[in-house]
Amino acid sequence: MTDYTQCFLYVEDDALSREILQIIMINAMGVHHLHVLEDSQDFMQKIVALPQKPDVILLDINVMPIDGFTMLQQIRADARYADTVVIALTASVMNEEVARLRKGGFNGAIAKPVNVMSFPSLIDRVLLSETVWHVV
Amino acid sequence: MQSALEQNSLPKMVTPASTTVWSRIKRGWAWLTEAPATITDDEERYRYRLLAGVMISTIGVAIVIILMALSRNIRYITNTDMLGVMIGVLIAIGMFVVLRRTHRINIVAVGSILLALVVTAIPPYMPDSRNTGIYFTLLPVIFTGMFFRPRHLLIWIVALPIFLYGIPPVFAVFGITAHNAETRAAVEVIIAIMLVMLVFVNEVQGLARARNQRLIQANDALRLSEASLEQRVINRTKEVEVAHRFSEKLYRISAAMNRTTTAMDIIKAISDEIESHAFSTSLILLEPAVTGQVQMGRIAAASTPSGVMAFDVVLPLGNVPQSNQEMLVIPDMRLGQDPVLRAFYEQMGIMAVAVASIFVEERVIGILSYTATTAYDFSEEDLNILRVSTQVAGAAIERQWRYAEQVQIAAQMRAVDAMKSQFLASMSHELRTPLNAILNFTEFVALGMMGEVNDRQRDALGKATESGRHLLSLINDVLDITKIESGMMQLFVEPNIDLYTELDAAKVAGLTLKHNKPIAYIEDIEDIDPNLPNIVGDKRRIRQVLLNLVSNAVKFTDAGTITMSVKQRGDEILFAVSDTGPGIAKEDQAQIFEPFVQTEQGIQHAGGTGLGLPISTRLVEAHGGRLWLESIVGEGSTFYFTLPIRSETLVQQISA
Repeated sequence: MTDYTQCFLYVEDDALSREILQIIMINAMGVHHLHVLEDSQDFMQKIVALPQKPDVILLDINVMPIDGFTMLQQIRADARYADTVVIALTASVMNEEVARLRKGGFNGAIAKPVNVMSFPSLIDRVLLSETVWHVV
Repeated sequence: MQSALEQNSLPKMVTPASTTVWSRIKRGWAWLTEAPATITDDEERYRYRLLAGVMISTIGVAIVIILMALSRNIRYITNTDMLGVMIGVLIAIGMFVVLRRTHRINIVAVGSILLALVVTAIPPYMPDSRNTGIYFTLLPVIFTGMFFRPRHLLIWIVALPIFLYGIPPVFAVFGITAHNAETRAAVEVIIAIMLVMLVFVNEVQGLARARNQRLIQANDALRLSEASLEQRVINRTKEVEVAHRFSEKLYRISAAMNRTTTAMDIIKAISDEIESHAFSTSLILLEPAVTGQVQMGRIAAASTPSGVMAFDVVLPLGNVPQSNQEMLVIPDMRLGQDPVLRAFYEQMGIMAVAVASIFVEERVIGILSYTATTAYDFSEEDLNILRVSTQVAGAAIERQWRYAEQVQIAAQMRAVDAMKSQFLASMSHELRTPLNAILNFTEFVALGMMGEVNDRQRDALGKATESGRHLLSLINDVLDITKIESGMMQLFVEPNIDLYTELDAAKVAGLTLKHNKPIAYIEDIEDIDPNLPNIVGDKRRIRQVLLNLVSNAVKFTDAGTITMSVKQRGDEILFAVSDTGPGIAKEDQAQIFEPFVQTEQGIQHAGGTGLGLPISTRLVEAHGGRLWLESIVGEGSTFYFTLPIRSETLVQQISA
């Protein structure tokens, strides 16, 4: 089990998905800093309020009240987070949606369901600055 | 180029200036005798020329006689005769000068006759005369007679007896008698012959004149008929112009109606083309339910700038024309036959009306009318415009209705499509999310992350995970085929797809699937072109097709070999996935490409939806390629598919 010193932020309104990712990242991968938001209300304030600046932000797309695309725009609009890696984590992997994700400016996308066998290696690739489009 | 031109051009025709004596004489003669430009009549010009010619020749002959007399070669010319000749020459010269100066042919002609008579009649009384001068001086008379007009002839007829018979008694008073009776007699005979000749010449001239007259008449008649023809052409042109203007008006009206969408616009289109300001145009659309009498005013519009007017009146529909050919025209309402109709229009202050009905699907849907506040005689052209306009208006209105229907239908279709699309997206999301949890938690447990697990439990959890994955692939397939069937499959086209990456992914998946089956997996080195170009397409979908074919091969082959070969063939890539499985019977081959159909073998081997091949086929086709199968039962199957390297259709769809 590798130790991950990076700080991760996960925005997800589905409780089960949150739990799964927490188990994978903390229990299976050994991530030390994982912050989770249950909705996108006052999203930017919450990010700013975090004790650490996140290195990787994982965004669910279908989140209320503001969706993943809008959250991404807000992140990109803030110069402090210009180099933050933002990955879409979504179960909506219809073609049109993937196209939207690519055009939207995400650093990558990972299709749900995430898998405990494959997810860690995807995160490793993301941390190596690789653009990961795991949407099959 | 230059020389070619010169060769082709004809040598210049040069007429050398005529220098022969004869041509000089001709030119001189023409200069002397040619009539001036002020005389335009051909006959007059001819007379002028003749007269001048006679004068010149007379002078010439006289000069010759005088020269001969002077040289004493002609002994019989007496001095008296010489005097006569000289007088004749002077007369001729004088006449010629007068002719050249005044251009008065008639005076010169008559003058020359009279003077010639004098010269002819007097010499017989002169002593020592042999009358040679007479013969000479007669010449001009003879010729001038040829261009006499009848009235000149009259002068001649009156003057001649006076000279012939009047002079001797006058001379006798002075005791002078003709000394040469023979000469006198000869003169009389010559003069008599002359008279006959003159009559003859005059007749000939008369004949020519008559012919000329007829020619002139014919010419006049021709000119007249030309004029009438011209008039007819003008009239016809005018008719054509009227017709043309009419059709132009109609064209503009119908063109305007094609653009218009409101009754007001239709009215305006028609009014713009009507020249009269004596009446206005109005369109009334009727309520849809037309029975006996209808309320008018659902839409009613007048051509006045005040725009749409609503009427709360009842239109007596029985009086509205019931066919395209009919029109109701009342130039003066006071003479209107129908009291109901009369009352109807009079209450609106309308005194003249022309009404034509607008038909849509053979039903009167409205009327188009001209209305005037005074009695008015509508012109044929205006009525024609009205008649045709109703047809155009009917077509325009029908088209508007149809268009509105189409727009509505299209909007509904779009709404349905959007709903379907939304439903699919939700399905995809809603089905995957719980599955996400099922698969992950099962795996967490199986991996021992939730505490100790014994082998039996791990085995059971493994089966649960496997079933979960299968369910996930089923969901994916069903969503895919639904998208394809509803035409909502869109490719995510990228310009440079590295096929080796996709082939590796397929190979890895195949190896994972094969478990413990004794299958040799061969990537045919011979057959995988090491220089495959990158292609334009949807990477994810290409991988999906490869995975589908490889996993089918692994699934249906219990032992043997699976071979994958890829090569470039022209402007496309040919893929082949072969197995040494049971093969597919001919009769089943078509079926396996149908959605939701599985062959008996397919069912036996389970683990599939039967959607993989139909999906793959459509995905390949969406790329502009095709997918097919060759199989022999008992030997195995080979699935082939092609992908264009650079499909123009796909290039236009490049998303990223």
